[in-house]
Amino acid sequence: MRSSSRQRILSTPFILLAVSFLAFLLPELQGVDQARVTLFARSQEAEPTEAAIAAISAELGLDDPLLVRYGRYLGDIATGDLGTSNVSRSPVGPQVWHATVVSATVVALAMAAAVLSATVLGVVAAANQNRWPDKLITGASRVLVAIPIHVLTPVLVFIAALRLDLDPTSGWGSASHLVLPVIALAVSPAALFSQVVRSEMLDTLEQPYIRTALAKGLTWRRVVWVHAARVSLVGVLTLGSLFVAGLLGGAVIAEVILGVPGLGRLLHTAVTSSDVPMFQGGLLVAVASGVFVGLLGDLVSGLLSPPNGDG
Amino acid sequence: MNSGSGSRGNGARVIAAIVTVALLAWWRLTTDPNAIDLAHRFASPSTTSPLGTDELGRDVLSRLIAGGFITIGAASGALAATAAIGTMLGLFAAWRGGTAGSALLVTTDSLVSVPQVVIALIMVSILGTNLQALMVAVVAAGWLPFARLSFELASRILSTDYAIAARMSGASSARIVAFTLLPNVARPLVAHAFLRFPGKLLLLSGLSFLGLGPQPPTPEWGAMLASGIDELERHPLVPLVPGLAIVLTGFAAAHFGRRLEAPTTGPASARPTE
Repeated sequence: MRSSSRQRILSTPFILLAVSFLAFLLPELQGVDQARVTLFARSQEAEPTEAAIAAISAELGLDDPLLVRYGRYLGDIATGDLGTSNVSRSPVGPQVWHATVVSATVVALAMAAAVLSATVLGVVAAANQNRWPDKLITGASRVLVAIPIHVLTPVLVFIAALRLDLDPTSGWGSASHLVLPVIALAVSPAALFSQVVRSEMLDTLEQPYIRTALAKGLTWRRVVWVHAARVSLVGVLTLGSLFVAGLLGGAVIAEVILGVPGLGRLLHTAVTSSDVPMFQGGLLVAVASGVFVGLLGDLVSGLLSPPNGDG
Repeated sequence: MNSGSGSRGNGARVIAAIVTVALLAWWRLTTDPNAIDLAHRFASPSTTSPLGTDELGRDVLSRLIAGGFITIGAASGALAATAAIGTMLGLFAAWRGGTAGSALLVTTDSLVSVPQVVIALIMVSILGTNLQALMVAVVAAGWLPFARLSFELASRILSTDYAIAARMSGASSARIVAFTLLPNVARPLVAHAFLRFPGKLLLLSGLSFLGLGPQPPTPEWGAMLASGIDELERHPLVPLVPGLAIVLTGFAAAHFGRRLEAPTTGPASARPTE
């Protein structure tokens, strides 16, 4: 195992601990009076009595020292209790879990779509270097990689609604709801990856073993798609694992625009409606999944890349 | 293959053109970008309002220009702060080496897999929805790459013969940082800053698009795009103008950054063999 991977594994608990402390501190940092907020959420009491505030403070243990409260918070997280939403007044945990499943589905499909299309496009471009397919793909990818998701998504909605009769264009529940979020998230990484695949393919096609394969009488098509493309796929998979964090971020914007009930929209709604427990819960899960996926990508790319001196 | 200086000239010319147009337009700008004129909602382009008016009858061109100053200004400011903070952390870690160096590497390695938007959301949730808070959020989300790059550059330079020679000849720390380190890391870092500009622009306008930035009627491009997007079908100019402005500005800056970066990365790191 590479030393960087080992360091990352060792540092993961500390990162998660730091994030949990930040999440715990958020109400303090935001200057939220948790007793009043909780009371308001429960009874719509805008101007509670002193006695009511004292009672709820005692119930929530708000008067305990900071570290005691943090310890209790960690204990709650460990037992899967992420608190109760200020807005919906239902437990945060299940909602965050459902949202995470939705986001994971969209992000995984988008990543698969990006890697597949980028491999095909990059290989086609490299095999036709400096001819029209190459120029078309390279030109399009340069433009598409620069288009922000909050510009791309509304345009996709527009096209889908007007030209493709794809209905409904937003929401969640059926397979057709997946189409737009997946495309919206996949376009930019696909454009970037295709450029990487193209340049790796151009390098690979120069290699002696490709000339050998051609000299053996294998067809150009077979050499390109079987021998050379496989090398590029490994490269783009490694790159893809580095991109999941960016994709999760883009998912926030795409989910809000398209009404996808994922983790991104949950965080956005929690911020705009000042739903502190919901934001804390979503935050923990978002950061933890980002860190774990990054770690996984690191390990996978370590396994895929050839050991030193053997190639 | 690519003639570096010529293309770099093009990039600079594009940016110069944008600045000139903005300044000229500002000079000619007579309308208040926030002046509401409900009698002329969604007016078509005319001599008085060259790009038409929006849903409240406000002049789209005026808002585009005023918004340009806000959006590009905020993105540039946030980028400058990001670069400064990240570079200082990176240089410090490289200079001290040892624990400070590995602490930086471990932190950046782990934090890099936390989405920038999530970090920005944390800051917005603490600081509220306004332009300053949004800029702080963008800075908090983006210092990592600069810290990492400056750390790697500085570590490489500090291990070169001339840096070791400078240290052995008794030069002070301040002198080595000022005359050996900074001149050598400046160019790649500036190039990197241009390459990162579109990211700042997108994050800033994206969060503003979601209503997490400056509040109406501030003519920020992302917010303009958001408020005009429902009219894409009937009045395409209203959302398309800020949308295209975001895309083109980001594109120009990235192009310029790539050209600036090309001469340093080309021979040095990209192709060691052949």
